[in-house]
Amino acid sequence: MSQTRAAVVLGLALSVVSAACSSSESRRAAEQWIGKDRADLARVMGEPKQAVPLTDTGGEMLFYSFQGHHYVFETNAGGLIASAVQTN
Amino acid sequence: MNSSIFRIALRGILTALVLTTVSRFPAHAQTSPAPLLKLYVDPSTGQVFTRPGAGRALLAEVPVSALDTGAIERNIERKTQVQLDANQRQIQQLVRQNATLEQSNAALQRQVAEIEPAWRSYVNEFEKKFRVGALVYADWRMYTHTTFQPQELESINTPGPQNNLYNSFDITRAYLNFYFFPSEGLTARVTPDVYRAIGNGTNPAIGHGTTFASNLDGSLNLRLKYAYIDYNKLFDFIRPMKGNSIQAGAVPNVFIPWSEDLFGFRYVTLGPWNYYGLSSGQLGIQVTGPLKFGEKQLQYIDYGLGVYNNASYRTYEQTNTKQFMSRISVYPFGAKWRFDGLGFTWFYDYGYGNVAPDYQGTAPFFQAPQAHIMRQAIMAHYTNYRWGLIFEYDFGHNAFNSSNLFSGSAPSTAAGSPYINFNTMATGFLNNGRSTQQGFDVMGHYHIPHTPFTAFGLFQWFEPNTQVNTNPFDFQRWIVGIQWQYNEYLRFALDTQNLSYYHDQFNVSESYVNSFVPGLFKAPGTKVISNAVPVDDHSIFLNMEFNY
Repeated sequence: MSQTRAAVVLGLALSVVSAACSSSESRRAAEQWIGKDRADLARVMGEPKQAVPLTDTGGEMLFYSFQGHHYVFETNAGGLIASAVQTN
Repeated sequence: MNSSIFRIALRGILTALVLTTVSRFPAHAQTSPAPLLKLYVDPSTGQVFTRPGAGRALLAEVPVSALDTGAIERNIERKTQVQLDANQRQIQQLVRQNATLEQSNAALQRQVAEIEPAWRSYVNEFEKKFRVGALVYADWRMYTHTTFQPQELESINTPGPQNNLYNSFDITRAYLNFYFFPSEGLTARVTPDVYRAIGNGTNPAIGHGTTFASNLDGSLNLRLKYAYIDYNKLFDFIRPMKGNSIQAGAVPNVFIPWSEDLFGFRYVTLGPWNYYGLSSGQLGIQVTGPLKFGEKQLQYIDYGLGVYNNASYRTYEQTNTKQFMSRISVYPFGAKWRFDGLGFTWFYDYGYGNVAPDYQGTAPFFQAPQAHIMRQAIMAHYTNYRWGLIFEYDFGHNAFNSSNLFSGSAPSTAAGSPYINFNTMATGFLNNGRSTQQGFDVMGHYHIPHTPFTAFGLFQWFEPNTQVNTNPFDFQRWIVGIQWQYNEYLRFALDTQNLSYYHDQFNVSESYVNSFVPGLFKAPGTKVISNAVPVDDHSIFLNMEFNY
């Protein structure tokens, strides 16, 4: 019984660690776009699902769906990606 | 005496020379006669010549072979060697000069090589230093019912009631965004925009009998919308403040552009406070930025503070006071991107009417145009990848006058117009210097999965002056539409925009209006403004946005 409990706890712990690693990696995968041109992003991910010009910064908010994941990118006035987030 | 001695000596030398030569080359002398060198002497002077002449006598004949060729050769060699040495020294000197010149050339080439990358770098960096963008809003709109109302978008106007089916193609924005990035963190932005020139200018008198026709004819003209310097490294030494920005010039203020970005459909309609009259741009100075904390650097606060002219970017400043605005947005659970998740926002604006300090008000409004203006908004908003929802509560003082109410379509006050008293009522209720406003707004959008389509909507309920018991100008406004994101640069929206002055029709007595502005109606008595509630407005818009 105690072994079963230990296995369950271990499994849950591994799941949490795995999820944390996965989340961390996906965050890094999105962040690798920071500093790149939005045109490069369009070449890889295609057309955004939504694109909202940002009046105050001169940049743009881009909503992408790519390979089953959702991303939100914000560009700066220079057209370079200033922030990149994978939302799922 | 001397000449005889000289002759004797010369003969002795020549004799010795001949004897020496003969003893050295006996065979050659005997067998083949060698060429002779004949010498002649002038006895009177004792001079010796190699050629005969008058008064000269043959002195001697000397075989050429008798001469010392070795000495001659040595002499020639010596002279040649001297010449060679001189030439060699000259060559060495030339070689040294050449080496110096080569060194100089090499140094020059190095200098040129160092210069070349600089201009090449400038050319290569040019596209990184500059960016030119464009933002164009265009629409076609058709009104099934028209009324007096605020503008739905900048630079559009609509004929008032009884002009149903009015329709128009419009360009409501045409930004040319020029950005210059001279150094890291520093940005200069210049943005001209179109506006519709409206009005009939007075024809100027030229001389005694001439006039020029005014060309103030409704053209789409260009004006400066934004021109500012932005520095975004000022507080970078404080880690949570990284991403801050300080801007000075004709700037987008801290609230209207932010709320437009939050809603995301600026090309369809103005946001609530923008619709009520607060411009999106002023001349002044402001600081904005996020506050990020924790290992993941989540944004918990987004702020903006600014001091501006009381005038907007399209009017000139007349006051000796200034306008203050602040916005603070709090994200209690942390935002991974700018508008991510649940947020609460408070906006505050305090300023004054844009009139000169020595303004002398006249009856019946007196100093009302000088009165303070206050606007506030309290918002709760939630945004994620797929949808967003915004609740907004607005309230203010003197923040909505008749110019704002009728910015899109105003009643005529020309002689004979049926709307003269109606317009006077509006000024009495809204321009009295003691008005208070209140409004509730709901905005949202939902992106339909696996499609380029997004549904959106907006609802506004606004009371232009809560001091009026039943204000005929209280209105509700609602918009519903669908957006098509064609590509990154182009999107379209089909929507219906509606404005409803929702009170049942009634009459307003002139004396009641005079209770807000005494003397506004000269002899009110029992007279009324009949059918004081304006008719409703219903329209269909096809909007387009191009952004690059």
